[in-house]
Amino acid sequence: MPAKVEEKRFNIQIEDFEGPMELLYYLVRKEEYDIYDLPVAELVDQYMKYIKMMEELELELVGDYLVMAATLLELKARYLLPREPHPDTTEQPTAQQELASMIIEYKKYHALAHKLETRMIQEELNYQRGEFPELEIKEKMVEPNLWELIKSIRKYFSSTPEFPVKIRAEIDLSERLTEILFYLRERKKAKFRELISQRSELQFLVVTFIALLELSRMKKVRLLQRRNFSPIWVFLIE
Amino acid sequence: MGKKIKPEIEALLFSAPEPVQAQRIARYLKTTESEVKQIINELNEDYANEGRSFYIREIAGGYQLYLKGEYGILVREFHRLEKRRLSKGALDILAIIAVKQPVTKRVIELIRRASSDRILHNLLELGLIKIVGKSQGTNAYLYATTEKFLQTFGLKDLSELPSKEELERMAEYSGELFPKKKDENYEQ
Repeated sequence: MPAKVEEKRFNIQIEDFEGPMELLYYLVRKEEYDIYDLPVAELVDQYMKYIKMMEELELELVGDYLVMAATLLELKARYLLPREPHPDTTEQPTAQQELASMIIEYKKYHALAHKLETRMIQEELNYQRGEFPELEIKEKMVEPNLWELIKSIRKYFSSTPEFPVKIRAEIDLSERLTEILFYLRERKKAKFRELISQRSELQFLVVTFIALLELSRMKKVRLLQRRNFSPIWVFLIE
Repeated sequence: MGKKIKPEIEALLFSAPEPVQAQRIARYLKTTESEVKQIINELNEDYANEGRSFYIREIAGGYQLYLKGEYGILVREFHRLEKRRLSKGALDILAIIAVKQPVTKRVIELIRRASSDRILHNLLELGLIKIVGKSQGTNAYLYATTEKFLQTFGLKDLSELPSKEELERMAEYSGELFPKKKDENYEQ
């Protein structure tokens, strides 16, 4: 039964996870598992299902999630294998305990983070004399993470009624790379959205996306946004 | 000096772009910390009686002039200020640093099980955290929160946040950390 729900929720939820621990915690909450009696195998399976869906996006953003997956699979194996009585008297934590304390440890800080967020919102209207901290931040742009890039693409997808997958001459990555650089040389900056939507073709979008990641890696461009959820800009580094 | 000390304290606070410690004012004006605090109280009473839009607030280990919250929207709209937003990941990391400081990236990542370089970098740029040294064994940077962190979250000092021990206790009450959905009118 849970498996059915996931497909639907995936789209909404995936964007909100800040990392593997949050996903894990979300699963515990969703299934109402007792934290002190976790069904380790079931929880790990659930986690793996999510990872699989993430991988289907075919983007290498699941790094942290995969590392966690390895840890979880090991815990699952230990959980399922019959425990050999330990020779020494000191008690080793079971896989169940280990997983629980991992989640509890994270959740402690996550709960505090939530309190901080509430305080931050309360503080928003308390201005001190002499300085507007917001102004400072306003001028400062941050680098979007991969989630942000994907969100941007997803938004574009959902706003484009038809998206033909045409079979045609291959778009060469290095060619597109040069093209983007030329485009940027003229105007110094461009919106991420503007670059991926120059042609409404799936292949073009994918190649552009990879080209931008590559240019960013080569430090030829910088991807920046004012804050989370705001438009992503591509700046030429000279 | 005597009578002038009140406007002098006001002048020092008025001209400061950041919280000023009462002790520092006391030392400079050759008086006691308790007298400074007393006068700050008097100033606040004056402001309240006169219906001023500001007051002196105890924040981030010192005192600073603040606008009353009720004028926040007016000021924000007039100066076209933007709301400040931090991602959930950044808040998680700040929570860890606030409680465990000084703390290395490794410890943070062990709790979050996620790489944290980018967020740490951003938090450093925003001035919410700082590097306070290196850990002896591994030579890794040690992170701590800043005064600006206290200001951003409206804290007088770190003792307003739960301590390590309190967090430990929090973890024992699973009810608080893992409430059942029924308890919070979960939809559906």
